[in-house]
Amino acid sequence: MSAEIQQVERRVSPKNDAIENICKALDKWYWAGKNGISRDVAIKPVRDVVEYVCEAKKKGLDKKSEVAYCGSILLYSVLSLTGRRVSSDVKEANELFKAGKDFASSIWDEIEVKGTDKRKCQEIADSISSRIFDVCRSN
Amino acid sequence: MINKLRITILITLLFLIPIENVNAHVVSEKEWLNDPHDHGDAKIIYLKAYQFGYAVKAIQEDGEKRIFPDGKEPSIMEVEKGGKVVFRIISADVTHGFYIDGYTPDAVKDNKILIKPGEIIEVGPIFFDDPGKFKLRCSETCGPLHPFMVADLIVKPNTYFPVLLIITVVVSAMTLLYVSRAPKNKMLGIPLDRDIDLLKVRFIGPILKKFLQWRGVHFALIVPNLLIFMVVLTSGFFGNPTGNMNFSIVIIWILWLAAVEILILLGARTWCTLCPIPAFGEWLARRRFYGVHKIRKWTSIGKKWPNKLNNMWIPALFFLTMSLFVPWLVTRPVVTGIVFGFLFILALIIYLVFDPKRNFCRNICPANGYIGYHSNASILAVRSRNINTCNQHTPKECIRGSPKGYGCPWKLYPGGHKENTYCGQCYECLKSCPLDNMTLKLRMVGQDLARIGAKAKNRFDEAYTGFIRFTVAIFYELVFFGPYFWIKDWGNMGIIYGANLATIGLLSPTLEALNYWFKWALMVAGIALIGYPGLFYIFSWISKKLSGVNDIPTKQLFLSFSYALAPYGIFLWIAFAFSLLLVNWSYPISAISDPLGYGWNLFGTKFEWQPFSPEALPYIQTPLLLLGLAIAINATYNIAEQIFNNHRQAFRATFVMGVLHTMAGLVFAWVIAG
Repeated sequence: MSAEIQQVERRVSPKNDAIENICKALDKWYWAGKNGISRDVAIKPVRDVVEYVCEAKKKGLDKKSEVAYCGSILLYSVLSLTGRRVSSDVKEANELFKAGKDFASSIWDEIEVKGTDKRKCQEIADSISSRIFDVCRSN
Repeated sequence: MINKLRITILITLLFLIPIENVNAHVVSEKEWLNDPHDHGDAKIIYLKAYQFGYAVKAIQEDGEKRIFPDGKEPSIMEVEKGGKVVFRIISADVTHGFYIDGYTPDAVKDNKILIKPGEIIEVGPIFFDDPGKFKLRCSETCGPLHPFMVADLIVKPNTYFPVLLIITVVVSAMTLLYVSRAPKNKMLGIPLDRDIDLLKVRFIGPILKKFLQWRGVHFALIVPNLLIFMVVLTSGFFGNPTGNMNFSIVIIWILWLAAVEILILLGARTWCTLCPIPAFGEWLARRRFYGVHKIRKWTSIGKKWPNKLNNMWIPALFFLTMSLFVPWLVTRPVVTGIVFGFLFILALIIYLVFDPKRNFCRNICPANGYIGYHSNASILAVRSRNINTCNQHTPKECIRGSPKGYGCPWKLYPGGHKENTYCGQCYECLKSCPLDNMTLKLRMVGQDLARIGAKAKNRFDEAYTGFIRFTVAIFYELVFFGPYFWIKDWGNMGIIYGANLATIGLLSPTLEALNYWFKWALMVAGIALIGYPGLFYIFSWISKKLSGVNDIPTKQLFLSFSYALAPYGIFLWIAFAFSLLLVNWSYPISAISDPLGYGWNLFGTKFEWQPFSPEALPYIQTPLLLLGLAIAINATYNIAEQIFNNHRQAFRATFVMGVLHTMAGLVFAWVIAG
């Protein structure tokens, strides 16, 4: 991670609430009972959201509508990683959606500061995903 | 009957003239009317075939000849059952054919009877031993309105007609008797709260579900249709100018029109699933043929669609406008080409300028209005399995979209919708819903009508769609398949030419023709916009008075009760569709092998015009009429029940509206059998 990004990260970082929520949601609906899961697979839903926010920002899309869409990205990512097409639980769908939406909202401004070119987005996605993974798994 | 039939054809060539000289009257009327042959006790009908009708010039019976003065020749003939008739026919202009429903034997069907200019053709004596109403049809392409060149032949006693009138009244009375017993939320005895989740039906359900959730389904269904429409446009502009020899006319105005009417009842907006007209706009806006775009960036200026246009007024008036030009539209390939070309371009522009949803389909397309309106009477609907699940589920992917599907392109909340009016059956909600809560339901006709009708406060647009469609169905059956050619000629502006792009100039009307067209336009628009709605309003007012409820405005009853025309109208349109199909089914099949009408036979499907048991039409149309009438009365009662919340008042109002529906049914009965 470059020194520049580390500096910016200290200045602007995702709100703790959003990180906590996404941790809880993923833990409850995805990670639970999956001890042997690799880091990359475990963190894929978060990476999907971060990548989408990067791309959406780059294209200049509307924040309100796109962060809501990110909620669905998180949900569908989890569904796909758990080998399902649909959920039978409204609660699961709602919680994952809300966690994804809040998380996307919290990183939207941060990404704006750091830049949206492909390499930087990749670095941001790596950094945030790692942090979430470390924070969540340590709890 | 066929055994008894003997047809002799006597061709008398009076003058040798070139066929191109079609306007020359080479047979003098004196010679034609002066029949030198002895026909025994047969009745002789002197028939003049002309573009596009048959006129009875004289009738000779029992040694007496009755000659009709010019301009007063009837196109309805009467014959007593068991009577013998000889038709002595001339053509006033071009070569025509001669065919009688149910009385033309196979031997003659294979060698059709041609009436060439300058010749006198004698057909007969024909023994008419089957009573009823039969059509005389032209069997040789004679110009653009050739498929509608008909006259009526009534073999008396035409008992079917009075019997049909009585049956119509009896069915109406029985339905009223049925609703007088206060059936709760039922349609002709079938509960309306029951439906079948088609995606859960054993064997078929999972296959259907997989098919509809497959992202490529829409694309796969649209592409073949798009190719067909490209041929339609090409043949419309560059094909044979004569309608029934041109793919655009026979595919659109015979096959498509009939298929859509039947599809509405059985599959609601299934046509909208297949329609290629908005495809270019949708593909361009999404930048995808069928996948969900990863980043939701649309190729569109994205202007907000004006709220004032968020209704069915434009589709309804567009449809009416097309009806005003219908004799041209359905017979001149270039007019069909221009209309469909215009629709393709308009759909694309609207996609590129406004928010990339189905604004064109919802609020512009002339077919959308009526397909949506009648779809409420369909037996198929896209609905949520459990509406509470949808309400509890906050993300609403069916509106916003998800990585698996787009948010509803028709701007609906699919999870909560309870009517088919604006649901285009694109099945995006089936794909985007993460809870598998959307499905396809099979239900009884009229499940939603009572609720929609009772809540219709200011939906004049939908009410007028109903009035226009209902009146036009009866009017088209009368005009296109009836003997009153002068009505057709008014709408046609008296022009006898077909037209493609090269010959479009032939459609220039004279001032006199325009004067006729104004009469036609006034008649069509007057009946659809003022006459029938006016009558409906008067009956709504009487129903209010008779029900004894004064605090409900007549306007509300007028709007609410109009929804009963959704099922009634669609049944009458299906009846009309059968007229089109049974008489003209051979044209589309031939056009597949010769799309441009250049005389090709690419796939070996080209053959001569051959109707399919057209004499059976009244017997096919009768149950459709009666079912439509009964459902309309029952639907009126269900709507009235919701409005009044009182059986007695609801029944009284239904009785009054039932009288009006019965009157309309009697008119249709007269058109098909009288």
